[in-house]
Amino acid sequence: MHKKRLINDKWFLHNVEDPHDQTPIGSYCNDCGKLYFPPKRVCPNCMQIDRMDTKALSRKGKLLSFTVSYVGPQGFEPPYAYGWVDLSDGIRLFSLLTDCQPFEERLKLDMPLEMVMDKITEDPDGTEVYGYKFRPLLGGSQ
Amino acid sequence: MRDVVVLGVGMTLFGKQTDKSLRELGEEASFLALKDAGVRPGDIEAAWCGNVLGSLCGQQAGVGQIALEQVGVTGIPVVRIENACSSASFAFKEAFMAVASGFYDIVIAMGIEKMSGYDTAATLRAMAGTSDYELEGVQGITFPGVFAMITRRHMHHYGTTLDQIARVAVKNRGNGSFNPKSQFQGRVSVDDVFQSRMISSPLTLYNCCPISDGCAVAVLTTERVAKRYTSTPIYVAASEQTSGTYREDLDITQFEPTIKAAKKAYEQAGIGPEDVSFAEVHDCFTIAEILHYEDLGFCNKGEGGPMVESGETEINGKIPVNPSGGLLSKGHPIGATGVAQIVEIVEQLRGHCGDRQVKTPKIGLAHCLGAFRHADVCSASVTLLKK
Repeated sequence: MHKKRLINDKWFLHNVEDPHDQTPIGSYCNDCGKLYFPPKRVCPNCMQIDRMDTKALSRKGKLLSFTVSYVGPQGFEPPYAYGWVDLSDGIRLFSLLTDCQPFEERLKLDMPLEMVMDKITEDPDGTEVYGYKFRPLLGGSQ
Repeated sequence: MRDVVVLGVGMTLFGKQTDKSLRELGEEASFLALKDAGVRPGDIEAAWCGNVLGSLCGQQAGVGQIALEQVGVTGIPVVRIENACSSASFAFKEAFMAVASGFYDIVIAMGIEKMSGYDTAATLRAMAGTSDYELEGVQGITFPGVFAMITRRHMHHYGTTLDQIARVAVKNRGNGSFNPKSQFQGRVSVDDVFQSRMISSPLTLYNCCPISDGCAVAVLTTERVAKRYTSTPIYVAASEQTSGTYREDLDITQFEPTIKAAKKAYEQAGIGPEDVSFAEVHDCFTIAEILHYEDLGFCNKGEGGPMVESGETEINGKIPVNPSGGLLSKGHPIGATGVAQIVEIVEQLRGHCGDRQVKTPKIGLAHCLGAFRHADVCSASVTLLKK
């Protein structure tokens, strides 16, 4: 068994054993109600520090745009697909896209997507790195 | 503020120059710029040097000092500026402000980069560092990918076609074939662009700028000093820069920082986009040039595709864009590009560009972008030069 780690421990609600069972969190400002991701301490909107609550990010969004990359840095096996996803809570995430092959047929701009937790890459020492990915929302043509 | 003049310019060949060190690239371009300006090394009072991989790849710190020592420019403040692909544009801005403010009379703005001959993994890692590494780089984002996503959205929203986008590469490679310092010297056809290998769909290889080495240098001074050296000075009419906002709801079919920097630059120069004779813009990918037409006000939103198709941005068109060949043909040594654009604009305004000479230019615009995070650019620069 390879070791596993999250892409960033501070960005998820529970640091539980199973990397598939994680919830990404943002910071929600108690004063102005603005939501930020990744989590942070200062709300630039009202210039307050440590007035944030953690809030689970929406797991649903729509695909702003995507590409299929035929080149990639170490730890990524081309071709792989990624995109910008606009979540229903207003947060925009860059994310790998999964369960969507053949890519050019399955992926459409503005299509509804849902978040899954999955392996993103591996560290050079073989440690598996987990984070969020998005896949087409099953039965979704909203 | 004092009026500022670009008194001299010089640059090396752009392209893969594995046999040349940073020191040698810097030596050549600095020598050419000092000779062109007609000043002595001891006349230079300060220098700003754009460079990216020197530190990110662990090549060399203090690149500017080492390069300038080669031509005897020593004993002055030399500042390295890293702002990803717009590093040299910001070096130029600092040099401009130093002269305009009255702090120095004669200064250097330099851009220098060596990207070939280094370990590919290290270069890729360094380039990933010009995204938001913690959020995006670690998830495998690449620059062709960013612009591929922009391409799809622009096509979806405005009906821009891959054929129109390919015509940017055809135009710029054509222009580059008239520029002896351009990395690529051959023309390509729309078919060639389509048939080159897929990099990040829908962008193929010829839609992407190459990896390059090179150095470009400009000597800046005051109007008063310039009159001792030349009767036809080239003035800096404006130089404006801004960072991104990275908002969650940004429209990715435009670059807001370009729009803001251009608006401020036009105001500073007291002109509008219709007064610009020609432009050197940041065509790191073909689609980028189409966005820049729109963001700089050369055409309306969504009309960038038809604009390149119409030939208006050809060398003999209404507003020539990237007569040098741009990043797509001339090459993109990332820390050097901003000053290389200034070199081309000065040479065009002087009428020294031979077969790629723009007809009767009065005002030239240089536009550069640097780094990318969260669907926004981290830096945009717009500089206007005039006769």
